[in-house]
Amino acid sequence: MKKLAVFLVVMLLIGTGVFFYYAQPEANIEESEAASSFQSLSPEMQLFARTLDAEARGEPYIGQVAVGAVIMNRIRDSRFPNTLSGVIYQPWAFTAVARGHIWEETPSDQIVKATLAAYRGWDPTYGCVYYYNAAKVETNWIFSRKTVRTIGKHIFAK
Amino acid sequence: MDFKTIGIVMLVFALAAVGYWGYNQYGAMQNVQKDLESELNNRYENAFQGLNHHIDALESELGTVMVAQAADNLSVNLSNIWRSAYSAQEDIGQLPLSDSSLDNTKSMLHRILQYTNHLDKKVVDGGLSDKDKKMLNSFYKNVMVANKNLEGIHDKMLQKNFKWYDKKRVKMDSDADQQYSASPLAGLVELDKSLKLDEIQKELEAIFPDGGIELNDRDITLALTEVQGKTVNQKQAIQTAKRFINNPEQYKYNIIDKEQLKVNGRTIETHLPAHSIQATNKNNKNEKVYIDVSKKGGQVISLLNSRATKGKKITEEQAEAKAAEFLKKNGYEHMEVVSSKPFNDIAMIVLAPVQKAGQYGVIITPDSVSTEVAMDNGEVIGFNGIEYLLHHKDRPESMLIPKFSMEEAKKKISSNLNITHERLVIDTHGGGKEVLCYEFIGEIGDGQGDANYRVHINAITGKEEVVHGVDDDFYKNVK
Repeated sequence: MKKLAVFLVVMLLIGTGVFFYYAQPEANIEESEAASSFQSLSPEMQLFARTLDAEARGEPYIGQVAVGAVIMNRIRDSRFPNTLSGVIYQPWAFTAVARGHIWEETPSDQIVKATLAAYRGWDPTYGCVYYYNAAKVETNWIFSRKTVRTIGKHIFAK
Repeated sequence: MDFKTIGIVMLVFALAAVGYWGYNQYGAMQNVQKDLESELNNRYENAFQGLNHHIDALESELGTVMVAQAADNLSVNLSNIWRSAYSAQEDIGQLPLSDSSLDNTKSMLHRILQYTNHLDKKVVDGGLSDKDKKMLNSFYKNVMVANKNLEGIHDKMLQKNFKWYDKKRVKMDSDADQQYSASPLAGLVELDKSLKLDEIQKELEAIFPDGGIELNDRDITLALTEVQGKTVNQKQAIQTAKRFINNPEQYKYNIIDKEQLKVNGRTIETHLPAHSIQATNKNNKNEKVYIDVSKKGGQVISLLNSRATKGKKITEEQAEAKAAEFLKKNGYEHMEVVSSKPFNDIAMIVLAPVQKAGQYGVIITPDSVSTEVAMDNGEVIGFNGIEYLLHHKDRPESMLIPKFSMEEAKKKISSNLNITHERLVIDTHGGGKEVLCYEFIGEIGDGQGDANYRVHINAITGKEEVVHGVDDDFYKNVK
């Protein structure tokens, strides 16, 4: 019995220790940013790059530029907010933004290039202001829009 | 006391301690959640209250402009209208509404912004015409409707204890949701529907028959179907794309666009006016070049190369020369560099065609081409020729001859501007009309800031057309 009691106490202590370890809030440790081009960007452009990173990380380069172009098109469109941060932070407009995923990692050099290209006017979507993941369509509303093209897992529409 | 008893007692205490701790954590978390929900609801409430406030102010200010006579009062009031409409737009942007909600309201606010901007310039020369007053009256009537409705909606919201954050993405689609019609938000849909945007559009088109303000958003996908030339197929498009690549034999080509897509079991048509080509470097799979070739006319619209650039080995001047050389090789005649800015090891260079008329060489800005040159080897890794493709043609010579000299134009420039560049350009201002201007670019006074400013003096009328700051702020300004 004594052995059982000791065993139980030890298990309890280990369990408590493990629990406390995982219950800590996630510490956001940014990777060391030696020669990343991301650091040269102004704060506004960094926000833009972070959004592209969270929204289009695994997409082909042209798909990343396309997502950036949608954001740029929204700024000019009267149906959306008038500033870059207004468009990005529009409530629930971008799931990755709403959930804070944009702060998870430092955008790669390729994302930074895509950000710049979109900012300077490259637009593979030819004026689209909507894009969605074909595998995650929840309502039929998007079918009422004019679809322009698909790149990777995104479909772009006006 | 034997160890068994001690052990059991310790366990019980440990359990109790953990239980107590857990209960506390739960309570603390609930409190935090309540605080956040409350604060979030406050943000949305603030935005909606703001919208109400600004629409109310807008109604009052529109009325004022219709009554006021003196030019300076008119000007101040037009500014107020502009500010209220802009603030109302910002408020809508802060609400958790789904796409396509309040489209008419947003459109109306946009038209008010454009129109009062236009009037503000007119008012300086003289008062408002009868046509202007009639237009303002149309806006006034619609804003009155919006204002009255909004008040009613907000009232209902308060009565029903409506909380914005409950809904997440508030969908304002009355056709879909039945239980929705009883909610206060149904009122917002009714309001949006009751705005007479079609009438406003018609009236504006009557006032501005040939531009002046942008009344129709350009649809590039349609514009590209009207380009000159024959329709090309995928094979021809790939042949054209190869001309834009340095060693075309080193790449594998495939088409990445699709005519039809299947989503959720439905088939949808795409409307891509281009053949989209992906060229993969056979020796380096990480280098992919994406080239879009227009279906009509078979012209390259854009090029994007994904390869990583490896440091600065050439100068900016050399990069500019490479860009000009690339364009010349591909049939873009008489292109000159109009702006050039490096970002780390990529040179971002914009070029425009120069058209000669007699002794004058005029830069045709609407036909600009953007390029990106890799400064490790001078390769063009980005090309954007959409504007050139849509706009380029020879302008009539009469449009290119100024009525006075550059020196005379310079006299109109403020002494505050230290001019660094001066040239003759064709440019579009606002409503899309092309105008011949003397362009002066310079810095302010004694080099106080980083920004350059661009001034356009109309080369026919002498009017100062446009003044604005020129700076791409993608670099950090922190020194």
